[in-house]
Amino acid sequence: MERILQIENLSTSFKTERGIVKAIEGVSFDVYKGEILGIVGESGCGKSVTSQSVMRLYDEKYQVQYTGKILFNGRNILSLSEKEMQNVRGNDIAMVFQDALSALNPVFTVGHQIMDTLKIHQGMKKAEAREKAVEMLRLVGIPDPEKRVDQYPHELSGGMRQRVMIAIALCCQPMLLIADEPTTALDVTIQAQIMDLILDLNKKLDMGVMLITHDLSVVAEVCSRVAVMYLGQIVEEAEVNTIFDHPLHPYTAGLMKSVPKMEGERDERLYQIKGMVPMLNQIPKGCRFSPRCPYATEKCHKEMPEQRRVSETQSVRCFYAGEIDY
Amino acid sequence: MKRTMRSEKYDESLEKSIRELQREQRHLRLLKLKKNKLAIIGGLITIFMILIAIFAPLIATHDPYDMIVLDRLKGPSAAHLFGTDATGRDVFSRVLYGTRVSMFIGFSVALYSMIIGMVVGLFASYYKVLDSVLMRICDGLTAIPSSLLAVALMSALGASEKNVIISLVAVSFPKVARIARAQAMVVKEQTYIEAMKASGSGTLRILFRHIAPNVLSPVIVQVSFAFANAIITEAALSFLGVGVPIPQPSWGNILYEGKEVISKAWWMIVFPGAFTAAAVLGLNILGDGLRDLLDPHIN
Amino acid sequence: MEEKREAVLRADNIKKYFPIRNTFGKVINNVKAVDGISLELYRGETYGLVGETGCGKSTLGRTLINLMPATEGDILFEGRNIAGMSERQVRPLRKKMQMIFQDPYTSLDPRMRVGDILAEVLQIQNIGKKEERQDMVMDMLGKVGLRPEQYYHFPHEFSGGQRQRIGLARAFILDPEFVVCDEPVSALDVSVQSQIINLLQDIQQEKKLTYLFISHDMSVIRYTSDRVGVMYLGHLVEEALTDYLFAKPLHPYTQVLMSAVPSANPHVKKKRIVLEGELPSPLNPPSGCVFHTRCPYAKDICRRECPQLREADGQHKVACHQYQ
Repeated sequence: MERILQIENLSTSFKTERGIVKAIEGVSFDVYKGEILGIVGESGCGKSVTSQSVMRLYDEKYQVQYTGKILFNGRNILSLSEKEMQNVRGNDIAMVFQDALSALNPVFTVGHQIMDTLKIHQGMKKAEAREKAVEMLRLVGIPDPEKRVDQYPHELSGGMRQRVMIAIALCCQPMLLIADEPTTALDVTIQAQIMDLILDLNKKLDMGVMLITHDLSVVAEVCSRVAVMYLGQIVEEAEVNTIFDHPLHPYTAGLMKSVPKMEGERDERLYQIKGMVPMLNQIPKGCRFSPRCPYATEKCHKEMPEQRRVSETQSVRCFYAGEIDY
Repeated sequence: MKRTMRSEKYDESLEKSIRELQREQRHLRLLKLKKNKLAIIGGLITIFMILIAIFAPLIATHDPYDMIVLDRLKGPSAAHLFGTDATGRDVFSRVLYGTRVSMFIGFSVALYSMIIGMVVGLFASYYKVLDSVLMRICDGLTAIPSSLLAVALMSALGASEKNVIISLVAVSFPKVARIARAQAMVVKEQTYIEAMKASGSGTLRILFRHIAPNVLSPVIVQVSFAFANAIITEAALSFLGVGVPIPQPSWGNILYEGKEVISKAWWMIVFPGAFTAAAVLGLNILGDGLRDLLDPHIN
Repeated sequence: MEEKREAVLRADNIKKYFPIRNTFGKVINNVKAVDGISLELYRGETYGLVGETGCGKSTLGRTLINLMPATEGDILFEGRNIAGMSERQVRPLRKKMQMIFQDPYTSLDPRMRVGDILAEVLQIQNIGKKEERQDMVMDMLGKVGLRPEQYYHFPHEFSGGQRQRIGLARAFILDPEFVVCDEPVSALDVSVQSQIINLLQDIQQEKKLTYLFISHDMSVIRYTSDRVGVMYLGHLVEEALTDYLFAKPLHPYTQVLMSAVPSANPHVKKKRIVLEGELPSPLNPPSGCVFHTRCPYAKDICRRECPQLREADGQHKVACHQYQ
């Protein structure tokens, strides 16, 4: 498989009033052509920071500092100038956000907004761009695209708006689509439709998709591989079936056990991970999960485990991976 | 019984952590204040003016009403720091006493506008019928240019310090009410207000204990501008001769008297003018600073 | 087979309309948020109310405890009809029926210390003296998993999960009998969500509480509820014991809803029923059965007549012409 994105040892830190805070540290993973990689974790785990870093969306003059490498098609994104980066954004890597309503400009028609992207990135003429806009709307499953193209965002439902966002993201045929919680604000029935759409387009267009989500069920449903993040680090990465059948990191296992499920026993008490996610300026020593881990030993509290590959398809950041039975 | 139980159960360790917490919270607030230079400068100017107003009798070198005909229209000197006016009164002392009058009027206007504005704004935000009545009255009051309205009220009520305050409050409270109402409309939709209702809280408690404190910040900012505005408008009214009755000194009155002799006695315009400008500037800076400082999103 | 159970609350044909007025204050239309719902809540049970955005589930929850006055219908709570009561008349009953809100960030007054927020609730209901209230608050904070000295913290010093704990404390400190939980875990992370669900269940068992648990999340409902009602566009379309409902959903809408829920097991590949069209506006709900515009089985009668919620096969109540 062709590797489109390769992230090596990426750390992103922010300057805040209380000093420098490392939001993510030592993050490494790859995205291959045609796959959907899920990045899953709870708020504050750094999953969004990772995606924003790939797009370099932070204000670099003031607040942010990157170390490590983000190789996109072999080119290190972090060493590109802002101008070159603008070309990458939208053209090669596109992004879909959670909140489609605020991501669309309320004073322009959706057609106008798609056409704008086409005109800027592909140098299309108006008539051509309009035709393409209609085609894109059809592609993302919006009924009556000839009519919808002239409507304003507020005239569309939440699901339709998210489809428009996807149309805008896809209109330059990006190689990589980053979807940051694309369905979190939507109802289940709409979520199902959008997920189906992303799956469908991923196959049709053969692009890589990085799906950021907090929802394990969404991951199980659409992703081929998953990276689980906790407190700024990837703690486990594996193929979907492998990780759901045999989670190796206690956090992954705990997370899976605490989700209410649609199958199986429903009377038993939900598993709960004790404690809460610490603040980024109070990162524990040793393994970052150790204060909450039911299996933590002396060693876990002192030393930080390295990410290690345990099989072809699975890597984990835990000293005792494979030794614990969940 | 209960009391002692508490001391056994919680008091020892609690006492300490509470004190620590309070120290930390105070420290954070101070830190935020320190960062806000604007608020500090504005506050210092305002405090300076207030101190002058309070201690005017101690600082003044002469009796502000004492006419020394021999010393008419003398320029600034060691004996008369700001010179003397057309009837030989000491301008320095008059400006100081004027500070007293102007600051008192400004402060009273600010205070009453705040109280009336808050009450009107809060009730308007909560009761639909009251809203249309109260807000239309406010609309009417703001539709007339404020100095014109003040002049009209003054001529109807007659010149006195009290009436200056009344007409200035009439001019400025609608703005406060409008802001209080707008903010209250936002606050009353917050879930914690609904939660209070769900606990069985009465309307007055919700209005004054929960909505009012959360409305106060923008209101205080507006009130500090109203303070500044009252000082200017009072000066304007007195300058037009419908303000504080002569011979009582106010900054506007001194300017009014200086107008006649402007070509010969610049000090009669410059000094009260400078005081007015400084006070207004200070209050406006304070208002801007407070706007940042009182932002409820504590960083 | 059903044992005789004591109903804590009985709602009969509840309607909640929000009038739309023109510039002159004349009512020109109504948003029919809740349109004729009857239900009974039994002591000690959790009744799950599930549905999508805009189906009126939160409005129904608020109407049932008279936080919003019902437009029509009766609500019997402990034998008294609270539907027509004024704010003042309901006030003493408030301590028996409480509410937990969805958003832990806006549900606490940012300018008050959390202890004072809780103590005030007691003060409003005239419970205890000042010191006693302080004690009760600290005990309560301990019960929901916080430390007593956190009495003196401000809401912004807490995480979302902790704030929701404070929200629970506020509801439970009055020792209520009936609590409306309006999406209490929707805004929370997975690991916090399970903590809060467990806490809610512990307190329920300890105090024999009755919950109305409102959620859009089928799997959360499945875990928390004994009985479930499914809402669509202001109507209750299906009601059954949780096991029956999840084993065999009868109403076409419930089936759609179930098929849309993603499974946390990658080996399970469900057949998804795709819903045609968009949710109609509650301003102009469809005639007849509200679901007929999107229902794959819609017949002529569905367009004309609104089906009543009726016993279908002994375990289900369903509002659908297919089963009547």
